[in-house]
Amino acid sequence: MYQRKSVKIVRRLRRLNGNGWAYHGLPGLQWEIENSSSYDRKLMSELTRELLEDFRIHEFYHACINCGNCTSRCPAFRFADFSPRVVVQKVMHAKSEPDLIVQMLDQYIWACFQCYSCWDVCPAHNNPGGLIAMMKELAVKHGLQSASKALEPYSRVLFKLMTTGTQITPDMHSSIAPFRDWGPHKAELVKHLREERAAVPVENLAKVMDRGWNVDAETIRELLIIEKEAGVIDAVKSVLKDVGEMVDETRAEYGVE
Amino acid sequence: MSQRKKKGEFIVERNYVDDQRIIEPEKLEIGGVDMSGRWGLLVLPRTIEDFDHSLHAMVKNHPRGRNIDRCWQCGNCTAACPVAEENPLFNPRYLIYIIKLGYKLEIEKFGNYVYFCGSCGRCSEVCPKDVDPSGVMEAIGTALRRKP
Amino acid sequence: MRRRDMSEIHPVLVIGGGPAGLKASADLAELGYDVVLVEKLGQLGGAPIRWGYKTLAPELRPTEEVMGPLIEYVEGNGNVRVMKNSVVEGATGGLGDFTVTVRNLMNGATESLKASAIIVATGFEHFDAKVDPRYGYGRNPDVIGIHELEGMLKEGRVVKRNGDPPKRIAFIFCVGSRDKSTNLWCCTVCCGVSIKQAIELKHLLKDADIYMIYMDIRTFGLWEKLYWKSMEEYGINYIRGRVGEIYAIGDKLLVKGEDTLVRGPFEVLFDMVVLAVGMEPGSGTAQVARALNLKVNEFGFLEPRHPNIHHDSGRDGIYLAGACVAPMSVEEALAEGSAAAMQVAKALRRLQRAVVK
Ligand SMILES: Cc1cc2nc3c(=O)[nH]c(=O)nc-3n(C[C@H](O)[C@H](O)[C@H](O)COP(=O)(O)OP(=O)(O)OC[C@H]3O[C@@H](n4cnc5c(N)ncnc54)[C@H](O)[C@@H]3O)c2cc1C
Ligand code: SF4
Ligand code: SF4
Ligand code: SF4
Ligand code: SF4
Repeated sequence: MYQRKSVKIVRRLRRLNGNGWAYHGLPGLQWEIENSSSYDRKLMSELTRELLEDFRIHEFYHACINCGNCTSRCPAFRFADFSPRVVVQKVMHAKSEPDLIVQMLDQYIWACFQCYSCWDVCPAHNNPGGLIAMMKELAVKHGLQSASKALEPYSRVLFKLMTTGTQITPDMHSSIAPFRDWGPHKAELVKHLREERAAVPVENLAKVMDRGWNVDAETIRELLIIEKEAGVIDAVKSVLKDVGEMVDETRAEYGVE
Repeated sequence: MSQRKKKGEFIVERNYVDDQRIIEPEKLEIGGVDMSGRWGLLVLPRTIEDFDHSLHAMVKNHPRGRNIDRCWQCGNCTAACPVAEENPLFNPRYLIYIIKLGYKLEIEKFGNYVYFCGSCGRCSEVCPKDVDPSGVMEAIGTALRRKP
Repeated sequence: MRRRDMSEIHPVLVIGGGPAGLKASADLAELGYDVVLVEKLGQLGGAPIRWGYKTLAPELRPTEEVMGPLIEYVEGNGNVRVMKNSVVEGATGGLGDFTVTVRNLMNGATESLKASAIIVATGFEHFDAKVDPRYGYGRNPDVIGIHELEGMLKEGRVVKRNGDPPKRIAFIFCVGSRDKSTNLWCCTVCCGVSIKQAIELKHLLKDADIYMIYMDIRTFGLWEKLYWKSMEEYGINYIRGRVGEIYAIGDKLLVKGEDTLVRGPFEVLFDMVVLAVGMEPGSGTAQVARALNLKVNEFGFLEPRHPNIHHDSGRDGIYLAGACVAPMSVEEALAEGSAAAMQVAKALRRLQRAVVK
């Protein structure tokens, strides 16, 4: 239906949309429809099949009465034309229309923060955030461009997590590289970090900065074995090539085959 | 144009965020840290905070728009509309809804699409509530032009 | 050999003095049977009287027109013994010859009675919106239930806690209904009742803007007229969506939800929020189920032998009527009361015909 739009109408649309409200002439969902029409049909049905055959689907999706309760709590919804209700509705109809899943993989699902507020309030006990997490996994597994784009800013966090098992330690919150994205006030916070941490009467808090970096070699080896066996390293390679390769180097250093 | 395209470019779900809601400072330094561009980016919420019934009142006073309150959003009009079939952005049911409830932002975005109506009257034939959506489209068009 | 006459038949026990129980009692009394009506509270009339319903949907006729004559007849008719503030604690025997224990809740005294048949009409209770924290019910006095609004409408004074008349009012549908975390079923009447109240509010507060936040409008049967009228004649607004949270900001309420027709988030300030609370079987129905050993379904409503034949409790001589079986309207409860009375009359006539030696 949407493909039949005449060129003339498209031009008029663009002109009408001179102030840029309607996202390049096609708001939200319409944009997706146009975009998914150029997708590889085989990959499309493969992705949908994988999602629908995942065992978790039975726990995360029951039936959706389209009420919007999930969305009413969703923080992402406040900023983007994104709604967990739409996600669940599309999953609901995905069997007969495989395009629906693919339409969301490119941009839509990445608006979600994975806060699971939606899960909390759904009267049907659906878990929209869970469904989204499954779709994000799919995107990573198949090395989709969207996954690379979304994960690229987390490259360093991901590398640290994969090689030490801990992701962030307090001393990483600094305005000086490598994590300036935490914001300028971090410079202030980080000045007396060690002393302040030591003052908290919980033993682990003070030590977390050292332990977060100096991880036991045997622990790292174990971690890398698990990641290798579970195919995590390959999956990461397909979306963040450099991170994957660096983890692979570490793996070789630690003698994990 | 090219500049707008760059704005917020790194946002993965970029097509779902309004241009107008993205604030991206060209030059910004806070406490000696360079926060220009994406580092200082802010997306404003798009929440509907009020209902503005002024257009609705104008439509209701228009001789062809007086039945707008009958509409119960069944979508029969849009289903019958030949323009909507060609162009999903023109949606008589939706236009009636946003005018009725006074959703300013949506009217700003989609109000002008009302002029796509071909006045063919097919919608008015199928409307189960005798809203006369075709007339309401005309009334909305008039109200939008006369809006102070 | 002779047939038994009426005087040899024990009275019929009716439990619950709401529309269904009253109607059953009145009909049986009119047929000449003696009736004992046991009511937990100090007054007859059930929910419509207890909560002071001003009018009844769908035609907005005064509640008294329906309930007044019924109560009068039952109380004034010599055939009905009304036992208020009382509950049935147990029953032994069967059709024609039950022995029933009734306890007076005020003084604790128990009384043993003979009964030929039993009609259970213990009705429903309103869903307690405190159970669902998202609405802030119980924390904010300007968030009220439809049952409380009924009382305010009847008094003719609808005001906020601070005494001001509300300017902008939201009704939230399906509170405590159609939700796996609270109750799964639809209470069937709250849509119509909320719309009825919105119309009455418009009469009372001409300038008020009223917004109905709904998932589906379920004004079944002829109640549909209410829905049309509210839009066409009263300009009441309908927003499709469901509310996730309500915050108090100053003396206003911020209602946060999704408009599912716009895909837009709304966070709008209201003066008053009315919750269309659903129906639950309630503690009274649970009590009677225990006392009479009746089957209850997964939701706690009394379970008839066949789901489409409400009056048949599955126990000989015990009949069901009204909202203790399923959520329903007053007109349906009245009809079910009559239906149960008819079943009792049928069974007792069979007994009378039986030959006494
Ligand atoms: C996915 C994820 C990864 C993270 N990774 C890191 C990391 O790598 N490094 C890092 O430094 N930080 C990390 N954090 C952040 C870190 O977990 C939090 O900053 C930290 O846990 C906050 O501590 P808190 O005590 O304030 O809250 P919490 O950790 O949430 O602790 C609150 C505790 O109080 C209990 N509680 C709540 N109410 C009551 C009550 N009424 N009575 C008694 N007990 C109650 C709760 O059950 C809970 O155990 C991560 C957070 C997340 C979500
Ligand atoms: S988990 Fe995602 S979709 Fe669900 S409420 Fe949070 S941000 Fe929204
Ligand atoms: S809250 Fe649940 S039932 Fe309602 S729209 Fe969201 S997923 Fe569907
Ligand atoms: S009158 Fe306008 S809105 Fe109605 S069917 Fe024709 S083109 Fe569509
Ligand atoms: S057909 Fe009539 S009632 Fe239905 S959405 Fe259109 S205008 Fe409204």
